[in-house]
Amino acid sequence: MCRLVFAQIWQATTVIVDASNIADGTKLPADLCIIGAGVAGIAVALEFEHSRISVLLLEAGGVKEAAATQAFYDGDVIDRSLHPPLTRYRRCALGGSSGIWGGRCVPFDPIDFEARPWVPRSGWPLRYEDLLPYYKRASWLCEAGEFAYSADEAFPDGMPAILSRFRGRHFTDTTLERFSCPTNFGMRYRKRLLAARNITVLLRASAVELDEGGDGQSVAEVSVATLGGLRFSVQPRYVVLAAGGLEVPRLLLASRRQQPAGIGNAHDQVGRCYMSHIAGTIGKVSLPAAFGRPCHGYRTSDDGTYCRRRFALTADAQQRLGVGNFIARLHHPAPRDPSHRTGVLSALFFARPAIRFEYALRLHGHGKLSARDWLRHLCNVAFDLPDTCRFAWHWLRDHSLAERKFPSVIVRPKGGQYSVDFHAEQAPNPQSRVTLGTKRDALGMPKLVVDWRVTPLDMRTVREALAALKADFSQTGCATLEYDPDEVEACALRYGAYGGHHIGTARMSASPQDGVVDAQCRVHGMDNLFIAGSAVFPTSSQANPTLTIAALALRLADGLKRDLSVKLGCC
Amino acid sequence: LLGIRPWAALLVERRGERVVVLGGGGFVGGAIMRALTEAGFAAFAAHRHPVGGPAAAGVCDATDPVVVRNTLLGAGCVVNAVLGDAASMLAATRNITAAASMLGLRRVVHLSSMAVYGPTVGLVQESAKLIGGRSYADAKIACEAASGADAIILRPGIVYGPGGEQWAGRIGRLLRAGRLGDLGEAGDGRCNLIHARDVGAAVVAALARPGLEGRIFNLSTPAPPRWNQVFFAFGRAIGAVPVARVAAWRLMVEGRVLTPLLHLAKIGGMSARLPAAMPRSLLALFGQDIMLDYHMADQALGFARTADADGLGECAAWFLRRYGKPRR
Repeated sequence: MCRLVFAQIWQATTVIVDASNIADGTKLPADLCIIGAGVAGIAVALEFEHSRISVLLLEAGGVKEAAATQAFYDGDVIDRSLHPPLTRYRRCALGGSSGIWGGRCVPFDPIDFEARPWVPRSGWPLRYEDLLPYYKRASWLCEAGEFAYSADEAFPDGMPAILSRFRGRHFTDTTLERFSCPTNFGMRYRKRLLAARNITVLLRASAVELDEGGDGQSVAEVSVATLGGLRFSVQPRYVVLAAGGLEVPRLLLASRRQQPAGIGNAHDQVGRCYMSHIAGTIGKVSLPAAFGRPCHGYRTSDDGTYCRRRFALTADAQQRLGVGNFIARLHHPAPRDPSHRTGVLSALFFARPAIRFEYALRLHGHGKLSARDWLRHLCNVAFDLPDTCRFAWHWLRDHSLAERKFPSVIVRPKGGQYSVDFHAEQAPNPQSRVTLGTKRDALGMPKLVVDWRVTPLDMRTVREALAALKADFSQTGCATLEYDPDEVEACALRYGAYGGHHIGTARMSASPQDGVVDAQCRVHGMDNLFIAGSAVFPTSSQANPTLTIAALALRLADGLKRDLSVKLGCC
Repeated sequence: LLGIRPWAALLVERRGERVVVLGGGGFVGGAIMRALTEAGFAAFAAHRHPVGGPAAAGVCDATDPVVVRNTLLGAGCVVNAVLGDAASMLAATRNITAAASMLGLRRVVHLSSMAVYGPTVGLVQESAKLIGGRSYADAKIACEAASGADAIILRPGIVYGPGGEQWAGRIGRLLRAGRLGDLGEAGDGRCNLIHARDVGAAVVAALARPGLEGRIFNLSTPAPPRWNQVFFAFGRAIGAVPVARVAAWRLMVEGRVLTPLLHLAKIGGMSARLPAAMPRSLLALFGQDIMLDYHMADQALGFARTADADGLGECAAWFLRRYGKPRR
């Protein structure tokens, strides 16, 4: 009966099915079982589209986000002032967190892959050049256009500088960030997943344990549970764990039938070196009138992608200063402070309850606003009504109703003063880690405990880089940056672990002593278990992780194809 | 040439053989005519309207069996590249088959289409079930069935090239108008490009190589790009930038509202001033993830293909000459 039900599903035209259709106790065969249908999982699955490899894509959530499945992510955070709740910045549904991301795509820099003596545990077991071909494909997959991440490449006819005549000793303004639509991978690629008869997507199917075979070197079964109480398993030839930077260590640590410390954890590396990014907004940037208006907003490249310049700390400067990677953008002043005299920013401040938590974080602040400040906000909107209405129309047309959305709020502050928005690398730190707690979720899986920590190097990166940016500004005279050096740490930690970037919890290493997976993303000591996603990044770079997640997933899929072609004689 | 194509020696033997191309005045037929002439055949273009150009040509109503028979007199081979409504194509195919049989023609090459596979997705071999589903596709299936057991059937994908109004002119105009661009999910289908010149080369090979009677071949680029990629590459080459995202609702309006209105206007005799329509069948094609298996054509016909980038470059150059540079 069980086999019959599965056979029917397997042969069905529609191959996105709810796991409640699987009979209890069924053992589902698959050449490739992918756990997690987010960016990484879908990227891998699509690489096997229309092939002879049977692919089973397990997703714990449904097509849309639901409270019951989102609750799987609940867990404990040691310092809540430093890390958002674990149900935030993540989405348990088809497409994963790509359903809520902002779309910023940036490749890692070549220096990020190198072993840097001044950054402990830095260095990847692969080079930037190894990933470059996959970055090119990943950029299209993320709908961020062609792989042109410098102003010269993307805009051969020229792109205005952020600040005219800026020539930095430490910083360059030639690199770009490109923006995805932002693409919800679940919605965007659902049709292709549906059309591929060799791919089956099982929704509301949570992998709760990886069971090793007798040799302890391969995953023989993936145990799956549903909220309806069903239990069944997948018997795969290969497993790709693509459940996200926090769920990956959770599942590895919870799979301790043969290895008490969990799979891949013989050297106590799973869950360690948990990184995010250090981000914040700081200071006042004043621009001399003689230098004209800054161009801190977006330009559309030939492929229709929104692109934006930023100030990037050069590799030489990182080495010279002994700090991690760092970028900064010219940003509007904090909306909360009405002294900006800008109606749009005050209107944004009023609108913060309607904005999703993940994006409204910066609009909130500590302490209550005085009645006088509220009044000043109202005056800003009233006296700046034409601009505010213009912005509202632009936002409705170019963001809310557009499929390729204008990425973020860009305004020219009436006061003429900008701020610096920075995004800095966090160094790997074994003490910053995720572990299993004693509480359990609705499926009996142990919940996570997150202990995110920063190191002195992280703070030094921000301090030194800001000082270098200030020096670059003043050297060329194109701007002045004022900030209180004593406030840097508070600014850097105001938003805590930033942006839902969950990095490094199953890091890549040449040796099992230093990490969890090898350069092919194969778990050390395991024959058929691979990890896709930001969990494998050994270092965090300045870059948002999605593009690199996709690139690594494509590279992993290529390796799997080679393996499968040898073993199965297909692909 | 002899080194590249093992069958090239056979071309020498066939040099001067009369080959009639019915539909030889069209875009594809013209490319076949050029390829045949270059290969040394005495090619003759038969078309329903008078055909210009240096090639030998004549007017021929392919739906008239007597006219077809008379046109094929003295020919060694015939190529059926007739395009028209379903009834005309079927009548022409029947007439060609009957005349070829009666006159004992050495070889018949019938130009079909990938449309015969209907909405099939994935890798499609020549043995795949023919589904059709639309009037053009059904007509092509009927034509294949009527083309005779010995006819060689070619099923090209998207036949493009300089001068091709359907896949270069129309697409370019739609890109410039912002009606095509990055279609998102709706442009994820595979664009099985085949340059018109390569179709001509395939026909030459089909006429020259022995033992191909009754065989069927898909004609396509080995790694078909997605339509979105084609739109971007072609859009950029003709200056239709930025190649903007076209929302799904706009495509729905194109297919369900604008196209019927344009059709009505065309019936009303306003076709000369109307923009190109994007019928739902065309929009469906942009999203159809079908890949023609090209291996059999490679093995049996062995013709050299034009690289997609080169072909699109030629089309862009033609488009810019024909329609001018974009207004900024």
